[in-house]
Amino acid sequence: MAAPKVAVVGAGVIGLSTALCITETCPSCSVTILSDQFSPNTTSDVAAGMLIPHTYPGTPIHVQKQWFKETFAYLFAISNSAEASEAGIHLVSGWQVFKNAPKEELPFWSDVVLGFRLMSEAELRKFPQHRFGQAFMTLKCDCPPYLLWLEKRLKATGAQMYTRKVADLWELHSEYNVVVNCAGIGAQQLVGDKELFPVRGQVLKVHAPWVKNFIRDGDGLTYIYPGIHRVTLGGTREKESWSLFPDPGTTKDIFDRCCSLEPSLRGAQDIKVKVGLRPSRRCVRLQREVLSQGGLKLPVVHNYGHGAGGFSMHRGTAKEAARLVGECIAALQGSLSRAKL
Amino acid sequence: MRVAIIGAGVIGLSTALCIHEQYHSLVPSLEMEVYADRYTPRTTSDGAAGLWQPYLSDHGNLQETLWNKETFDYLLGHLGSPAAKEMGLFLISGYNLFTQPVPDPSWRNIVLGFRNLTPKELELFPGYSYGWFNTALMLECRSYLPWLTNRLTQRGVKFFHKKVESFQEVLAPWVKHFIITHDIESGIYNSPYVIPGSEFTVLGGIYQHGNWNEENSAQDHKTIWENCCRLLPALQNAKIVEEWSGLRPARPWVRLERETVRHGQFQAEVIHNYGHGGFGITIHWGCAMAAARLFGSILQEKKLASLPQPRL
Repeated sequence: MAAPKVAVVGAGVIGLSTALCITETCPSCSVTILSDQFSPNTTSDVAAGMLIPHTYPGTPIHVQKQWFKETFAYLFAISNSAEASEAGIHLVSGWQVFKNAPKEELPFWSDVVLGFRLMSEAELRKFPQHRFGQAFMTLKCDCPPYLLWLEKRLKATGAQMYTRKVADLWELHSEYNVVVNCAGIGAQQLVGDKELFPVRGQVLKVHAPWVKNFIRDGDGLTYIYPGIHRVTLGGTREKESWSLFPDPGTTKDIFDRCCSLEPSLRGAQDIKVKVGLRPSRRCVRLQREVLSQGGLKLPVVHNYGHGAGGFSMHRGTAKEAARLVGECIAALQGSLSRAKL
Repeated sequence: MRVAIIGAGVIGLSTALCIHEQYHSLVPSLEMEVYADRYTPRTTSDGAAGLWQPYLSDHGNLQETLWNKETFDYLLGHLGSPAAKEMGLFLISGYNLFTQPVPDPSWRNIVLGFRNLTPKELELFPGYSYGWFNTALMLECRSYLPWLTNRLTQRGVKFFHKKVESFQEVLAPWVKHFIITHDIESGIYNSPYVIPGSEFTVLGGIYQHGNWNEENSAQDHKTIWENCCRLLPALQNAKIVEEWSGLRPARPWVRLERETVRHGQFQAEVIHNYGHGGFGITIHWGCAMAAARLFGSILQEKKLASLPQPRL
């Protein structure tokens, strides 16, 4: 097979990073990204892009740690280079505070982020309602810049991008040798995955450039994440809600909760409200599948269901997906050779 | 009673406010006036980035360490108030970098979360083998001085030779931490530093004893830019929007004392509060309080007010 044709469905952080990994591991592949949405209209664009992992109950911890480590190392290198500002990657330090002591004292990722330690008494005084806290430094991927940077790097490799709503993966079988499904929440409709469900998140993106540290409540519901130009205030976790419309009552509630953690936010300007549906699953679906109809086959690699942990795990899962694509191509080439005999 | 404040930088205005707050109700005849050749945004204070951080060593000057702590605690207490944003006050964390291990500074327990850098973090800064990380405060004088001016104006304090302007610019908004490098040989603030403010980021690293020149030097510009970009490669894409040179009022120690000045038959009590070098913002409130105590003792001597015992 001279130039295997690979289609990647989805152009959020998972689709774009997976496509980029494929161009890295398989330079002879021709890669095409197909998506009904591109930045700034993907789910990834709503997220703050903080590298603070979400724990998947259905994936072994050592695997999640490996994915996170790879993602962290990759972004750390970018943050320390001249490309950092264009890619939207920057280091940010801050605190995760708890009203009640967390079940596990040390999260699995505590030795991957930088300078992880427990907060001192003096630091906790800033949060009178919280009794326990962790301080650390991590990375943030600002979107749209990060997605646009990935798109730029993809174009440089010759990859193509098209706006197209794929209704069924099989419709691609005549044009492509391998299809990679990075459709995120779209996978529910695309492949009928009943284990995938939305967790609705509403956020505010505000102008408050004096906020330099992140603050996150350990319950995951209230957080303040300073980005390059805006601070993301969150949030909500509404299971099974499909609504993409901002709710005004929720906006006020998020704002009040964040102001109680950081009173200076009362002076925040130009509040923009956004909604995203986290594509949630017990575990990320990262596996091969072969679709077949009437004697014809289409190898598929699934890479979706990252829920609240998309940014934290994206590079690690993208590399694994690229490896699986490599296996698919090897298998295709093997069967082609056999066909010739 | 007429009180003149000479100087409208951070020291002048905070001293004025401190004295007025404490004594105005006790001395109804108190009239306070501020005189200065420069007002915000043209004072030395306006050019400072505004980072609360004393020098590395207090050289045994415990008094100054106490004033620094008083200032930090005072500002920390204001962090949660609605005024914080208007004051230009916010928390900021960051690094101090060294080429060799150094003793902990006198202020390690004043700031929040002081710790040494881990080897992984030091990888970010080739050439530096030791460092600290802590959370401190920023107090941007381009906001703080106008805020102090408003408080004083509300109290009826008068200003002379006043002019108001403003700057608004963006440099490197992705930088969220301060980074201060130290070179024991070249001395304090003579090696690169990066301090992100609320709107733009300050790049610096020039500390030239005895140089009275306030003109920007092309050589110094090159030194600062090249050294800071080597420290933080991401800065190469930053846009330079402004350049400024200021004269830190350096002295072996702060002059904070009374003096009686006589001219013929006239006599005036002078309180000196100057010589804060590169740590004026860091020490300002502690010094303002000390100056206010000196003011109180003057009042007592002149029996201009019946005061309770001064609180130390």
